[in-house]
Amino acid sequence: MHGIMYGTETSSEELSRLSSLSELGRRALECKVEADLSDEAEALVRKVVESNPDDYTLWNYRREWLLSLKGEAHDRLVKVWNDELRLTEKALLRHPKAYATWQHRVWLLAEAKDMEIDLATRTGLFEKELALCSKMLKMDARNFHAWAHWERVSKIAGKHEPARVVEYTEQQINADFSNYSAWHYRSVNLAEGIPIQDKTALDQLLDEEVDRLRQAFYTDPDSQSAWFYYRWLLNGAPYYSEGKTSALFNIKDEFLKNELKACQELIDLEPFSKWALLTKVYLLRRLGREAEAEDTIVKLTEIDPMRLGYYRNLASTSTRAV
Amino acid sequence: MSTEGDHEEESKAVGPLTAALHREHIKQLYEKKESFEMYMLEHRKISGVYWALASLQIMDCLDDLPKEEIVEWVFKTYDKDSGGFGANEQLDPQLLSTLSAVQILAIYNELDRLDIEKVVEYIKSMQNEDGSFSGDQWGEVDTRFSYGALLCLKIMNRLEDVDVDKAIDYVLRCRNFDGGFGCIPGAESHAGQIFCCVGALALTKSLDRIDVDLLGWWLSERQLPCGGFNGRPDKKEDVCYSWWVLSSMAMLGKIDWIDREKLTEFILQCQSPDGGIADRPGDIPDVFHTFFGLGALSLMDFPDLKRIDPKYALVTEVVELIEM
Ligand SMILES: [Zn+2]
Repeated sequence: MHGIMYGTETSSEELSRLSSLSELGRRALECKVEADLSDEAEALVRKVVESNPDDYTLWNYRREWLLSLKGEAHDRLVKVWNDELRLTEKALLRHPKAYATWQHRVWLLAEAKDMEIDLATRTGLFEKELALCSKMLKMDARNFHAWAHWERVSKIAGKHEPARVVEYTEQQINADFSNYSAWHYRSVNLAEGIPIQDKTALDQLLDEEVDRLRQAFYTDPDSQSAWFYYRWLLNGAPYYSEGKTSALFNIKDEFLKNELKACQELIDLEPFSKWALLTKVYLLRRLGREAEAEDTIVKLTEIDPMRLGYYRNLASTSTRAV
Repeated sequence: MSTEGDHEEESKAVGPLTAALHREHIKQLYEKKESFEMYMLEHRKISGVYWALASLQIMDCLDDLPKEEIVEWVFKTYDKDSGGFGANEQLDPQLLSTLSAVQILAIYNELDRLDIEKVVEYIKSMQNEDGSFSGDQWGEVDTRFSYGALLCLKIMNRLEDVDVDKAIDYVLRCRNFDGGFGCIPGAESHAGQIFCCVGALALTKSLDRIDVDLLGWWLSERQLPCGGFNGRPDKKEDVCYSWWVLSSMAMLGKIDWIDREKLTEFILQCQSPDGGIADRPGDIPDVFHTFFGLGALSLMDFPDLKRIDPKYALVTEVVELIEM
């Protein structure tokens, strides 16, 4: 069981709680079998899924119930939809990784249009999704369900807002440099999310990104997240757009030389920083300084023997041969 | 493991593989009326049965559980109308539950009892216009389902019944610049999703379409000083990632890029004194982590365990029958 230590599970109270919940679930399933869409059945199902949000069949059953309301007054539907959001939120606060519950919300948003819920309300529903993502990410900044949910609901609502994502990731990264999720979503949205008028603005953006990375490296040189982002940046910050890959920055040798110098400064302070050394290898090779790269790889095999096999391969893929 | 360097006084106290206890844990789970783990598995029981049987088969003791009873139970989760299987009796059909059902029948060499046309029809009905797959009739999309669908069809030898090219195009759209894959296009790389996407590519012989060195490197960086793997950068170790990361690396041919000895030690430390393997040392074990721990040990040629095929998550002798 994920993160559950001995002791918690064995209590007889917990077992009897689970047992009565399971019994309730069985009763709710019987209602489903009988296609009972009454208020009593709905209330029973609500009770079960709130405590047991993995019960996907009962969420499906709720959807059948929701669909049966089609054609009812707009106000009623809006109220029901909002109630449903509260129910799922309660469930998610207790079980932040329940796939079926996250999916129920995706469905609610997707179905709202078909249920003839008006556009203004739907926009409000979409904002509630983002508010939930933000709330869930406050509890666990790495909850990949919450991050992916943002993507999913944006697609449904037709709201591609890269600038908003970039701004949000900036807050997240500044709060914790080791938040790889935030770095990732920043990389996906950066090209479209920052208004770039000219080459100067682009240069300035690159400088800012590098400054933030430098802070991250000095805060914790062993945290991988920033180093992966840095590698992406050094590759010109590639991104997908209209089916092809483009690079945001045109990385020049002059820039790489500067970065190598900065990397070396970190190594002088932290001679065993594996990530700084690994990045040094990459930079040296980009600059065609293969012999120095090979020396650095030897050092890496000494400080990081777990990945000896990888370093051997790295040494064998000399750029000089290419 | 290697026999060289017999410095026992220096190495950490790592016990042997307590296979007998793991067998007992699985048997108890199957037979006991009430347990915490049983309730946890209520809505994914069919996968629980698959993890249990796959674990037993790796330890070469499949007969510990009653075959006929289990096969009959599997068909109680079958939905004749759609051709899909549910996670438990009376539960709605799902693609991943259908995969578990088909895997169980493959383990028992009882695929003949399936209405293959009908199951194929179900899986076909889950493919979307963009090549992705939904997890059920309600439309959740995720690369886990791409793998589930393709593996299920592959086991039934019916891959050609869906649009494989489009399926692979979708998987490739979920690739990131770190070399990994996420659940939908643009989503963060995650070892579980990587396993699914690499599996989908391996099953369709499409691994040449990705940068295996880049992905292999990212995966090798999942190993932490404790020997265990995390699933994403700057996260904690967990036994289930031993399987997802290592099997992906095995498919990419990069298994020697990590420290197998230390990973083995970590998995053995996660064994519970009562049997079963937990996510981390000291936590409660469950059949999910038991299977993933044993699966990873098997990939590393641990003695007395049967070899597992990483893309099928089934022992090689079962795969040989499928591929015949
Ligand atoms: Zn786990």
